[in-house]
Amino acid sequence: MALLELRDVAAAYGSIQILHGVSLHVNPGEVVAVIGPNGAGKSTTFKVVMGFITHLGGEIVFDGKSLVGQRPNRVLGLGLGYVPQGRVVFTQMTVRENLEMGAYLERDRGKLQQSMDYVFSLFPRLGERPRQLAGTMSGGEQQMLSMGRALMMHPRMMMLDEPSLGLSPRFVDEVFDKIVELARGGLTVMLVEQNAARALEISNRGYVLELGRNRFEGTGRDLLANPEVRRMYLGGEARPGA
Amino acid sequence: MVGGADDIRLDVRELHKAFGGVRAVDGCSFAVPRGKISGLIGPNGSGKTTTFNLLTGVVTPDTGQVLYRGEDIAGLKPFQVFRRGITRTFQVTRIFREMTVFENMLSVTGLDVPDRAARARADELLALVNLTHLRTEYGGRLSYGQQKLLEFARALMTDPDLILLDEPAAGVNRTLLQHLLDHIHRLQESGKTILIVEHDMNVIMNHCERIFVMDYGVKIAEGPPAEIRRDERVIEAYFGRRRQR
Repeated sequence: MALLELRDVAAAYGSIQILHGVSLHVNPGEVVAVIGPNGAGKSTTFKVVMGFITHLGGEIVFDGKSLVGQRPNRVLGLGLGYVPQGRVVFTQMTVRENLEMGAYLERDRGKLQQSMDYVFSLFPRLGERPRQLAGTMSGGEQQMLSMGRALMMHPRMMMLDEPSLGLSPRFVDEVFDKIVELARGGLTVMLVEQNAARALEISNRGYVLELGRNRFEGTGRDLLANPEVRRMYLGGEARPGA
Repeated sequence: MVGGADDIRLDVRELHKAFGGVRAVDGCSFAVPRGKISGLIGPNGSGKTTTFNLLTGVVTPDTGQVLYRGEDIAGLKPFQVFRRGITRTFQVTRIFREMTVFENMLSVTGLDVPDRAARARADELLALVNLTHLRTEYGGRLSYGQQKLLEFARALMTDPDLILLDEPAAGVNRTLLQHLLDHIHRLQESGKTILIVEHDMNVIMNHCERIFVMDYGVKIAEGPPAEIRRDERVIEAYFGRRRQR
């Protein structure tokens, strides 16, 4: 059974409808990429799952429970982590404080520390400087912190919105390596990327959205090899391993 | 190759800017060749965006010169820089959220009542970036990628001579990006000078003739793509070892 399933989901920002019927599912342990042109509804899909924006129709089921009408904190509590686009960290807070914010639902201090240790083991660089202000970290480090914060609640699944956005090549490699490492450790992952070829390379499956609807779906490999997908969404060139 | 002064459109000399104790730009010099596409790369936090801010009057340099067409424009206000024919886009987009997409386009013309030519140009550019269908939508309703595209289109409204693009590829669909790059080449062929800050190596290596590399607020390397790709310092600071293939 799928861990997350969307059936014919419609969603809007205020009066502007963005999703007109998106269906997708993510099986436990899978890495699934969502790609498509700008304005296709990729980030919106994540936001409606998290309960940030208006749900107009369709079903959203996570781990057997409907997420429709749920607030973001409740969704988080069910084990679904979210890493927003653009390295959104609390710049005036330290690394440790940022991570604590990720687990604000956790009341048990002992468990909080365990989570902190777990995140520090995944991201040693964060563990080396728990008292550094997040705003003074490099872009790549902020992205790691943003991921670490989402992991503080030990989610079963994590949704990452353009994790490589604005990162230098070195950090793009590091972020993708980390996603693969987390997935190997059993975390289910769904990610949105404009670096779509790169995302499909590490994904079991992918969905192409366009104008708020499903356009293509398939294995990462099939989508990468599909000439139409290449031409319309991946920039047209064959760039294996680029 | 960069030769005499005539071949240089923007001559950046010993720029310094500190924020508190952080020396964001620490004696940075480089010369942007006229009529070419150049790239400015470097690790996150190396001072690229601050440099753009210094070149465009958004931030005032502590010391240093920015020579543009024989004039030192360092320390001018953004609108003064803009009026000299220099436009830019921002990494974190700065569009008018409470104006429509079309109004955003016209906002830079300086005309109270934009004329037919300006309106036609706005529509042409919106078509270029695939935003025609969102013409009457509020800017704040656009996705991040679409806001980047709107800024790109808006930067071209005034027929600038020097165009500074801060991460034009970030968040932009790769197929659309190819169209934008084609357009950038057309601008270059018509005589414009373009300087691009970017992490997308396709943009930098396949489209820029000259590349400047910054680290810790200074230029650490400069050259054509083939040279930069092999530069040990650049590999160490920026590409990472795995990228050598």
